Amino acid sequence: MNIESLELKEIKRALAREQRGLTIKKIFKNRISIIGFAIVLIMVLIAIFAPVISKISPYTAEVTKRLLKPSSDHIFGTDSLGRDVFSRVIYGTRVSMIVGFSVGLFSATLGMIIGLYASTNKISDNILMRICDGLKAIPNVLLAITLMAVLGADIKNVIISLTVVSTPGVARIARSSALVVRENTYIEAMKCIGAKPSRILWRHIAPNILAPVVVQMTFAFASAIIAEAALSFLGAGVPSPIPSWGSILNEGKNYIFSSAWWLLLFPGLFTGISVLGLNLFGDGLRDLLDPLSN
Amino acid sequence: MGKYIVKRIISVIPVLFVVSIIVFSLLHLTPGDTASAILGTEASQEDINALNHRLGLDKPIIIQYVDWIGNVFRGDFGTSVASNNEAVSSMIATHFKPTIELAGYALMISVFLALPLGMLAAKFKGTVVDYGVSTVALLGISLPSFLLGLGLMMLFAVKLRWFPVSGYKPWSAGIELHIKSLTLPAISLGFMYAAFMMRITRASMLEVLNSDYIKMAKAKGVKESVIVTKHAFRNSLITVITVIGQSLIGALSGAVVVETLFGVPGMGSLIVNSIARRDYQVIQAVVLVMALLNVSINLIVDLLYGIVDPRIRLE
Repeated sequence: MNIESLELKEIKRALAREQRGLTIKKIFKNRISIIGFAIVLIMVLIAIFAPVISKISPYTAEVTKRLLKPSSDHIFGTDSLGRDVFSRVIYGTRVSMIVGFSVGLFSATLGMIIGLYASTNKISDNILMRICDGLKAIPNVLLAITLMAVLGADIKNVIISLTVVSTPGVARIARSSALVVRENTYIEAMKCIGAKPSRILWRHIAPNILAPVVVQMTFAFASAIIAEAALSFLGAGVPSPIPSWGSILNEGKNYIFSSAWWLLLFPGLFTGISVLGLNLFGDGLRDLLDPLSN
Repeated sequence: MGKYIVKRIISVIPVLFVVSIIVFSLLHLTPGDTASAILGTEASQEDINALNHRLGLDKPIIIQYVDWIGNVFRGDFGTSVASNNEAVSSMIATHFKPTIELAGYALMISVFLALPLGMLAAKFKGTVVDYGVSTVALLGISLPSFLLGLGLMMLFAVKLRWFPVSGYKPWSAGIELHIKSLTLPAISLGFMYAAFMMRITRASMLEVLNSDYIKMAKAKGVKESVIVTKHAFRNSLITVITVIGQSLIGALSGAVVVETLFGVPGMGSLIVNSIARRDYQVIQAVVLVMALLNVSINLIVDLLYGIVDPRIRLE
């Protein structure tokens, strides 16, 4: 008896030690994810307040001011049509944030619905998951660029194509999480008291798979920003006069021999920092919401 | 093992069927009439009808699919509308090699960079080495390949002139020129996967090193080198295979953008050019071939799992 309680004490102490270690780690991880969140927030604010931040219109072309180096008038320089690069980068944030957020939101919602229904029975599982497998089998960039070619260059179509590309991944995660949640006793209990399957699905399973889906949403956001920049860089994304980081980079590539480095550096920095912010935020969020994945 | 192989191969068939349906329907997603989309607004109605007939677009859709898939099985992807009726299959054949070379080179760079660094980070966990590697990995994951490519191009090709800015030299032009022409694209493509690999190598190394059987081996007094090569390595092989397979798939996909940037005449350049020319037959073929490649890599990875870990065969 005495020995047993001693052992119990020892175990409790060890557990407490472990927990203390965990919280310190968590705070550290959280600090990093807070930095990530701050970066994302700043980008969103830049997108919202673009007209306040940049007084010059991103569309005003001044032929006399072609390819100017950064100066006090144009702090990011000008492009080959004499448009202000600072303004174009700032307004480009709008495109990236709208595309990234919409793709994240739509693919998370769709993926969750598909994943939930796939978890209900074998037949729907087979049909839905085979479609997802088929979509996943086509390399991401190829699928996106082909859809763009078919649908036509437009922001709306960029969002549609990238949602099609990232939904299968979310659906897969939502499905496996839903299958795990289904095994719980409380689901069995709900079945026993005669709850309708749709009620169990939406009131009891759905809220419990939200955490991994939200984590996937941040990663879908990040990859949509990269993909939009890549599509616009290839000339298959947002149509030409609309400012987008990818299209500024494309122009920078065309003038690489004129050493127009400002056309590469600034949109490049904005792209990289946004993606970094989202990745940091997503990593932190995963550690916090979805400890099982580690 | 035989049963496992057969089961894996059969499981691929529905995926291929879905892929074929998706690729086939891509052509039919074009708003309005496909033939007039290809020919443009100035085409006459006769031309449009003729092209519709040539592409078989005037037949019922099920017949169209059966005809198309039958031809695909014979390796016939039709002819390119935009480039003088050249057979699409021969266009694919010439553009396939550079993509494979580029993706292979990129994968090699990332493996040689990531495995040692990931292991080092795991061995010196919590030290400067670990934080350094983890930071590089995080930056790598956040840096799109074409962005890195543009930076490398500016620095090493335009400023320092160590490598050509763009253009591809085949083997026949000399090995040195060939490798030089692919080095910058391969680094830009490989770095992201190196970052991804570093993270996973580190995590799986830590997991294995903390496992009971390693502690047991240490307690028995087995030599460190034997532990790493015989006990830890074998058990982390599954992860290594997964990561290499995933990275190869990613590199083949990412090659689209990098090829266009560096002017490598691969599958990526082919599809980007075909999109500008509305050459839907070529687009379909490229997507289908790349998806097939993708599925085959996944199948090989699955089969390797069975060889490396006998437990998987029984599941």
